[in-house]
Amino acid sequence: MQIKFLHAADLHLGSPFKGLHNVNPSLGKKLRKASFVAFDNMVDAAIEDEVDFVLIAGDSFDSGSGDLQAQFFFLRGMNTLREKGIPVYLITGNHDPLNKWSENLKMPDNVILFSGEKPEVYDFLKDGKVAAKIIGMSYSQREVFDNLAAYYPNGDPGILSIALLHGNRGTDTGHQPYSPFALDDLRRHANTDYWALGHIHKREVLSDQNPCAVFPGNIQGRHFNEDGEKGCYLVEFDGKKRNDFRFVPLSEFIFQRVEVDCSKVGDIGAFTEKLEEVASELLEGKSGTSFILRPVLIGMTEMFVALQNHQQVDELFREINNRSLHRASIVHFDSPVNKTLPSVNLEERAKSDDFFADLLRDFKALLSDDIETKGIIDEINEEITGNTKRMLSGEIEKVNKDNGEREELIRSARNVAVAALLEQKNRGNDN
Amino acid sequence: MIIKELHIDGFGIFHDHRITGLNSGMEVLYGANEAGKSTLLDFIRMTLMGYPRPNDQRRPPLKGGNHGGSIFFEDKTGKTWEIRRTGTNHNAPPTLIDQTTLEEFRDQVQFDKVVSNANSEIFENIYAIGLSELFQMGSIDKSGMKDRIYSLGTGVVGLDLRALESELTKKSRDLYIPRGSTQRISNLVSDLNELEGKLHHMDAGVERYDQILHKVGDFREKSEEVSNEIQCIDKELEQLKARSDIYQNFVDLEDARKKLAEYVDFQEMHDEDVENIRSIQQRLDDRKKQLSESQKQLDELRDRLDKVKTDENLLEFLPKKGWLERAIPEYESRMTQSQREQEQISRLKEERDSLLSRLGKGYSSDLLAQFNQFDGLRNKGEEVYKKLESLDRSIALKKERLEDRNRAVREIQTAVEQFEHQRDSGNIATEQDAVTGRKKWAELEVKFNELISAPTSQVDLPTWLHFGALVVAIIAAVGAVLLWETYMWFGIIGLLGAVVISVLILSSWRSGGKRNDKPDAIELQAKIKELEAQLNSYEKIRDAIEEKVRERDRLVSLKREEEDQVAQEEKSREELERDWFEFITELGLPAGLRPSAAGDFCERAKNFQDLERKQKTAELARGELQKKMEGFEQEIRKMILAGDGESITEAASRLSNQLEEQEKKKNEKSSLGERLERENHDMETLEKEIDRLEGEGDALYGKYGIGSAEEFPEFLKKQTEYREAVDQKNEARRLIESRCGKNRFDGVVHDLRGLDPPEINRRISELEERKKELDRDREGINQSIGKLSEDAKKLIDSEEQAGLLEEREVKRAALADAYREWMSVRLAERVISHCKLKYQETRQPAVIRRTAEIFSAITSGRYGNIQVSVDDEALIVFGKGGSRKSVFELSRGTREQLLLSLRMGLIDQYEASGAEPLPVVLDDVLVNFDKKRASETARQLTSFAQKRQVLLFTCHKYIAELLEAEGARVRTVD
Repeated sequence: MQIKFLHAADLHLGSPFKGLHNVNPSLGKKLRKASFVAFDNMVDAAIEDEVDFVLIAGDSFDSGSGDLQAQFFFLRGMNTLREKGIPVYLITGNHDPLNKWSENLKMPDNVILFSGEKPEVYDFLKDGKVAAKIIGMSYSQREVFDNLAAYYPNGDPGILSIALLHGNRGTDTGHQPYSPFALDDLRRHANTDYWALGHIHKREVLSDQNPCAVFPGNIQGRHFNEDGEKGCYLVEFDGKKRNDFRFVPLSEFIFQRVEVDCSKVGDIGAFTEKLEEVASELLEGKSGTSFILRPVLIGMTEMFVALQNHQQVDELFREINNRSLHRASIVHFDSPVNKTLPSVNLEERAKSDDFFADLLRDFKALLSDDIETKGIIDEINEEITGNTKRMLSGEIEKVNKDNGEREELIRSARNVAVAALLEQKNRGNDN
Repeated sequence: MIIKELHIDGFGIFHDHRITGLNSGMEVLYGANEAGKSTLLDFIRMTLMGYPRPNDQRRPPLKGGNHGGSIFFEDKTGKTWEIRRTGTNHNAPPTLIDQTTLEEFRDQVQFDKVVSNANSEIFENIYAIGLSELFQMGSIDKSGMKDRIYSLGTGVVGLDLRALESELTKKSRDLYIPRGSTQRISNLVSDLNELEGKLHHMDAGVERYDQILHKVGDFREKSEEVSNEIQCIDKELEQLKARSDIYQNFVDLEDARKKLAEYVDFQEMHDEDVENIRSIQQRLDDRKKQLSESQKQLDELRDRLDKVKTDENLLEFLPKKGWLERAIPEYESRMTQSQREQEQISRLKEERDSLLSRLGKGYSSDLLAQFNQFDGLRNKGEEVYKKLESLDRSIALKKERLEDRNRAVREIQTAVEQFEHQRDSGNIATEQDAVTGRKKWAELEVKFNELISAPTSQVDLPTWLHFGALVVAIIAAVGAVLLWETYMWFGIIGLLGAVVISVLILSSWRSGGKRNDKPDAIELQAKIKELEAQLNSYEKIRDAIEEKVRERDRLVSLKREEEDQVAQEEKSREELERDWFEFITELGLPAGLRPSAAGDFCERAKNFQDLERKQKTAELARGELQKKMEGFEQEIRKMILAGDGESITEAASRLSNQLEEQEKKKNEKSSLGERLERENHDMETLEKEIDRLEGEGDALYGKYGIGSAEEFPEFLKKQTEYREAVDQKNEARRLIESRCGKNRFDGVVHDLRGLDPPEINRRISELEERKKELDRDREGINQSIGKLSEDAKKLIDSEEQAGLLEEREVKRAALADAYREWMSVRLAERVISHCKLKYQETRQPAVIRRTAEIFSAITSGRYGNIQVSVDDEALIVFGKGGSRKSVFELSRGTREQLLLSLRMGLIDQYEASGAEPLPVVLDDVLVNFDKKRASETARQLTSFAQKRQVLLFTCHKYIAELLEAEGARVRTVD
């Protein structure tokens, strides 16, 4: 029997975008709606593709952050699917455990919400016959460290069997280690044909057959680490044999990094043009898609000094972003990474015998002496006190833990120093 | 630049003063105090670098001469120049004169070129100094040499490390300082705190929502409880209001019960019996009334019967009353019809007579009445008429043609007569005259021919032939002349021929002319022609007359034929007329009847016959009518006699009326008799019924113990009262039951016995008060529910939290960004600071190094090292044992030695970059040195002067000697 279903996970409805600091109110409004729009897109896709049912593998919303609106919006989507006669098999995850759902949210009868006590199996009937068996278990609370897959019963040898699981693949350290499982744990369920996974926000097909195990990723990226197109999977089975399998993009905004070569950019006008050029190259043939771009500025440039002025650069991006707001496709530049170099060759310059060269060599020495660097950074961090320290604890921890971050800081400090020196020099020349 | 000579025109105490023979190396200008050493220093300064703006500083000439003068110098290429400057105008450029070419330059540019752009500040504060300049560090600032001291080793020209550091510090402090409140990071932290505070209130939206809904549930329960109580009160109120409403019914009920107690043994009469008794009584009344009515009518009838009287004689004719009634109008109708018939007869007769009279004489009534050959006469008439008409038309046509013929004959005759008259008026009028005329013409012709025939033998050729011949002759002659030489013979023949022809022609021509020249012949010829004309005219007229006569004769003959035809047709016509006459005579018709009128006659005769027939019919009808009328009259007369002047119809009518009256009376009499009989019978019947009804009534009264009919109304009244009481009781019960329910009747009545209206009202108002209270409670609860629901809805719909969350993320990002920026700046500060220390210790600029060398030499190694503090730009002097002193901690002499060393170091460094070495001019700078250091300084200066010119002014002999001992030239200034 032919079965077609949509597999989505990690909707994170209402979850705010992170890491953007150049957001004007108009864009803010659009961003706030982005996860909802992506969800609506998913509902539309289910209706349009006339699927037999929809699977949602946990984390439909983020508890504690606008979750009420999210829950009611979710309910609305479920009702829309009900009107079209599309059942939804739903498990909850660490972000939306059962105890975080409103007692007063009455799910329509097309939604089958799995228990948090033990795995359950539901029959999906088509034309009066059992067409699929759907196995799943919800998180009753946020932290579930058991390997839930181990409790899941095996599928039916003669009927398409699908398991809904929210959990972390054992080796993935980028996510919370909830319900950790290994691919072999899944393979042990020899009769289960499809593992509809959730939790990992990056799209990944762990196994494309015997059984299929798929992380569809989240439906809308929320920061630069969740870049690229986001969406869900449309899957077709004929009995226990998988036929079709395709990704359905849903996201309203796409996060992406872009390199902007500033080596031939001499002034602000040229810089603006360069960014617009980058934007239009990106949009070519992708009308209707909106992007949130992190420009990585590279190259030896005369703009080096000017680009060190964060506030000025922010202002410039704000201006460029405002222009894009009126277009059909928004291209928003945010959180630029400045990797530009001054037109002076620093490597060569460091070979001289003067103060400037000494300075450059000192920075270089710091880059290769992480202990020294860490010590200095610790000392500087000591200056931060009280509430500020609390607020910055995450950042401080990041800098403490990650030597990449530290290296980045040293480079940034070198750029600050070089820019200040060059600025003085330029000022001296002007005088 | 080496100064060679000084030419002072007028400057301070100098007037027209010259110093010559100056050269490179060390030169001491020794002079007593007031000898003008400082004046010379100023002269060199001002002449080379320009006069100052303040007038009093320009040292105007005190002993005359023009203010200013010249300096002769040699540049590094060996070229000699004169620089001349006047002190009157500080702005005026110097005059530069090339001493080789004597070329003059009056601008600063050329001078700047020659001195390699050395500026006045450097010169005045480094090269040409007195004690006062030496002592001041500030004078180094002015020279712009500070950078050279402090930043030459940084690798960045113009770098101010202190400014750089303070800039970075400012940057970092703008971002963050501990416990700061206006820095970017502090602001962001404070914003975030505020946001967290706001979000804290909003967090756990689901919990709040559920709590709210829980509360709503509680309130709903409470609201339901209150509603239930209100419902109970409503019920009770309803009951009480019902008691209040039915209280009157209850009173009525009790009243009825009391009344009914009085009728305990009362036997109620059945309605049927009441109705029966009433019916009997009614009927009895009716019958009795009818009986008395009948008696009255009987009496009346008897009276009327007595009054009706009849006429027996007339009653005899009563059977004929019907006939009479019919016959009178019939008679009158017949009379009218008879008159109409009589009028018709008269009219027909008149018409007949009129018809006859219109036919004219010869026609009688009999003829018309008996004539019956209508078709024969009409056909014959038509036939004869047609024929006659045809003949008449033919005859008339022909006669008309005859008339035309006669007119034509007459016209021809007139023409003949005209021709004859013309003929007769000519010379030749008859045939005889013509014969004679012809004879005479013949004679005249003969005569004429004779007259002209005698000389006329030549050929009488036509004129054109003469010309032709002449042309031929000419051609022949010309041809002859032309052919003469060739064919002479032909020419001779031709010429001869031409001559012959010409002669012939000329002769012929001449003879023709002769004929016309004869006068007799011409006259004769005229006569002949006249006679000829006359003859021709006669013959023409004669022929015309003959032709016209022929035409006339033809017409006359035609006319006669046609006249015969007319006569023939007129004869036929007469025969036809005759035949017609015979035909009508035979029919007895008058001769005057034309065939054309035959048809008309037939029509009229038929009309006549028709009229006659109608008249006879009318007469017959009238006779019949007369007969019937007479019969009627006879019958009437048998019954009544007509009065005087009374017509038969009037008499008949009168009779009819009388009979009518008699008949009515007769009928009335019999009717009254019948009614009398009926009334008698009715009365009997009524009396019988009255007896029966009285019997029935008595039986019913007896049944209910009513003594007589008279007691019955009293009984009925009682019964009505009884029944009203019963009804009242039932109605009250019904109303109570309908308000309170059947089952509860007894209970309600029982309750009411213990209540009264004031008690009920008191209880009602008590309950209403309580109800109001509960309503208020419920409203309060509902409002709370509404508000909570609104809150719950707001929680669902609110975008505020999403907005705040987003804002928080933005602020967090900004904070992270600011932190990183701050960290970068702080790191940069740290590294720069570290680097700077290292620089201070190990990387002093060459100026300082050189200064330290000179200073160490001057102090004989007491001070070994000098450093420049980058922080405060102060010079630090290190003593032998590592002691460290700032400039201001040194003794005056040592400080001056240091500062002189610094200038020497600076000059070395300045010139090392390729600048033009300028002359160094020092005014008694060694006065404060002790002997040893002065001597050492003298050595250092002399050594220093090996590469350049050093002029040293002093008023101290020992200084001059010290320097001289070191190899300096000494000259005394007067």
